[in-house]
Amino acid sequence: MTLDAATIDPLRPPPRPERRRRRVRVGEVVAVLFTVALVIASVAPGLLAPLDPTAVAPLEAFRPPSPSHPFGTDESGRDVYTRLVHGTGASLLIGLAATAIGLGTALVLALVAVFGGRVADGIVGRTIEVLFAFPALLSALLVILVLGPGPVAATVAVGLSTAPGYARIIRTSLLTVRASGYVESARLLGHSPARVVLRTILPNALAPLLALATLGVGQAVVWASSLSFLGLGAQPPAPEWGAMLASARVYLTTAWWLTVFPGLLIVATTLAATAIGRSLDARSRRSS
Amino acid sequence: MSARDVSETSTGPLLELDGLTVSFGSGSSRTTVVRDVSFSIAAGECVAIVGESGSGKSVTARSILGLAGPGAIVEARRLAVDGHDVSRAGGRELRRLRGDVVGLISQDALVSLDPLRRVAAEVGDPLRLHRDASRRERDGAVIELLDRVGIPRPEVRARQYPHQLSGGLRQRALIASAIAAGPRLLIADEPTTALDMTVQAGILRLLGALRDEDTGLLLISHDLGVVAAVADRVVVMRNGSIVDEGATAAILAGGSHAYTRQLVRAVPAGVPRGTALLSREPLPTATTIAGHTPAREGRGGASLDREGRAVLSARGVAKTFGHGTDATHAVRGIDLDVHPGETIGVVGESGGGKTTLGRILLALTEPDVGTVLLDGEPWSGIRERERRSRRRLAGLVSQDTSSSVDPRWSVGRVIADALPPRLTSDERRRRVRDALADVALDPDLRTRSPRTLSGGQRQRVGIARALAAEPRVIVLDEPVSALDATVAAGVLDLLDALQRDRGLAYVLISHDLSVVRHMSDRVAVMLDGVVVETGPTEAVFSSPSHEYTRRLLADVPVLPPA
Repeated sequence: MTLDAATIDPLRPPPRPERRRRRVRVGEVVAVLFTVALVIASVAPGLLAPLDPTAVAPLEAFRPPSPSHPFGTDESGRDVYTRLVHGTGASLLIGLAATAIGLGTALVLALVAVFGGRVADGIVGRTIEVLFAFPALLSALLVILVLGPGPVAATVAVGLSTAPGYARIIRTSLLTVRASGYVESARLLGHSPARVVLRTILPNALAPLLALATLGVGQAVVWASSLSFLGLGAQPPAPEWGAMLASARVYLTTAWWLTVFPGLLIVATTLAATAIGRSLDARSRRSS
Repeated sequence: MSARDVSETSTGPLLELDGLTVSFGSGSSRTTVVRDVSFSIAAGECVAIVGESGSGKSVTARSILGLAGPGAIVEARRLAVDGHDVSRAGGRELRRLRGDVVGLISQDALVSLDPLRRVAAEVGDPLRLHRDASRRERDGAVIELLDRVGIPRPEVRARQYPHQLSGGLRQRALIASAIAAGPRLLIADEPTTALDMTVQAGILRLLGALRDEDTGLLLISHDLGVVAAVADRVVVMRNGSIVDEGATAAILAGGSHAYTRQLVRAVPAGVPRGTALLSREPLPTATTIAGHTPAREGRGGASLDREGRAVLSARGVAKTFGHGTDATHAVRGIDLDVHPGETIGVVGESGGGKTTLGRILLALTEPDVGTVLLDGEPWSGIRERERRSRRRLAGLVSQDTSSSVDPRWSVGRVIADALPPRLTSDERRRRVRDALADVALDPDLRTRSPRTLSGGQRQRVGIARALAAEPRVIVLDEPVSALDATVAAGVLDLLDALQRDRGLAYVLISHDLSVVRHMSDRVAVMLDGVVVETGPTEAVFSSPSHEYTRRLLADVPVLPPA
């Protein structure tokens, strides 16, 4: 053998085949930079906004955007920019956790449907269809009705209300992969069903979901904000984007900056997540 | 002046091609796929371009219609259809040309016919576009056309959708659409590749008839048998250039170029069992590929382990899909024994039950009646749990390995996955390299994704995986149907050598009779789920006893004896 056996392990996941040189898209770069900023804001908000997000200064109330307060101040004289930065963590956490809850629930449902036999598939399928009949926000409200308002309840509510959609996609994906030639090949080699599911079916069925989940995070942030806006999510004075919007709506005509900046941030976050999700999706399609 | 006005006055060749060069891209990334190709076709003449994938034969044909693809740079000293120079023709002019003066029949009728339109609409399109025919005229003409291309019950078929038609009927409908406006030149790009022999023979007869009616025919094919059936002249292309050219008989006799001989040689028809296709040398009776100990000595009828226990045997197996009047008897009452070191060829047309039989033998489908024994032990009618430990004894090489390997896995992992369990990682690595060497692949390929390999390499990976499990019997389901002739010949030679080396039993399922004849010791001919004839290969092929076998054999396009 001319090759050093230790350098290339055939059991390691395959190195990507030489990928065609891709033009870097401006939108993707901006989305990634923005996401990095969001992550910094979540982990160490003090780095981007050194002021105290809850410091009240009545004399400074309702100042429009200016060099000292780039996004203006709210009814209690708190700096809107500072509050937005400090609220990032809570808002994003809600988005991520909600997506995780949604995907996790969906995965369990889909696995039961696909591998639990015809009766289980029927039950799960009909349940998903019934859930689909309700608007997602309505089912989220039902969950909150049971759990009581608060950020945790809002997260769970948004997560559970997205589960049916994910479950349907995962179920189809699992069925497609299960019927594929390579799963049959694995069976022909006498691998146990557990091994076939874990090593072949799940990785292939879930890979396309990564992109979808990224899109879902943006969606979940919006929904969590909607719940906060309705007063059912994070409670004031906690600096959460949706809650800030909710308390600012009273001053919509007099202090536009109180609603515009949190709104813009939510839109930008969703856009960034969508852009990254699409790019991931395109990549996974190219490689498959 | 429209292209058609010219057609009625011209007397020269239908197609004149001089110095056609097609390239893609620009600057340093510019690649030339067709280089200085020149030939002409007269009315009533059939010229065939043969060559392997990537030889530029399809691009050449499509350039004539301005369909070489986006970004293609087509240059020619002369590119004239029916006396009309089209080398600088614009979109509108070319559109008028297509379907009117030149008809195109493409390979895959399933994707070439709009699934949402009825056959009549599709076939009548050229009449609507080029002849301004009224609805009523079209309807009549369509039925006539369908009848002419040999579609039974044309008035029924005209109202159906493409998915309701079989592959052969679809191809015929596509031809009907291509000839609807009475084009003077027909371009047929691999018109029969996806079809059964019998259907193929029908299509070839149809093309031949059109040619006899003075239509010029440009036939693109990788199959020399097809070419032999209809072409008057053959152009051999390789890597974008013409390497050989001449009358069909001369080319099939070996032409004037080494590559032509190689192509002719790769056709398994008439090459006796046990002779390598590519080298034409007898295969050694016991090769020592990669140092494996030969499983047995000698070969041929006498030494065959016929009296010994069959490695795989089926007794009276039957399988029905559906119920009541919809029931399809896919397989009925089949007995089959496969002995070590022996190849059983299973032939028949699609829908004949070949694939179902293969699945039953692999215990992927449970027969309704009958039993299957693997190595003398029950293989059907038992629980999957009991089968699992013995599954490795029976392997499968399918037509398309790319769909039967995990798309995320490297070649190395695909093969390692098939190795026996509980090996050390060193042992595993060594065996993966050995497996690749056994199928004559570079061990460096193990880090690549199977999808980045060529078709022939991929098929070898499929074989390496099957072998890695150390099977006693392998079901080969159309193992070379998707491959070019010379590549296929290499794979067949490899399979043959591996069998001699390891005493493997093969069940070879194929619609290609020449492959089966070359590879098999015994054949089983299937029709409608029943084995209508079985016996030693040469006996069956030289003196078929069943009508259906005779028909199958008659439909095999044959090369004239060299």
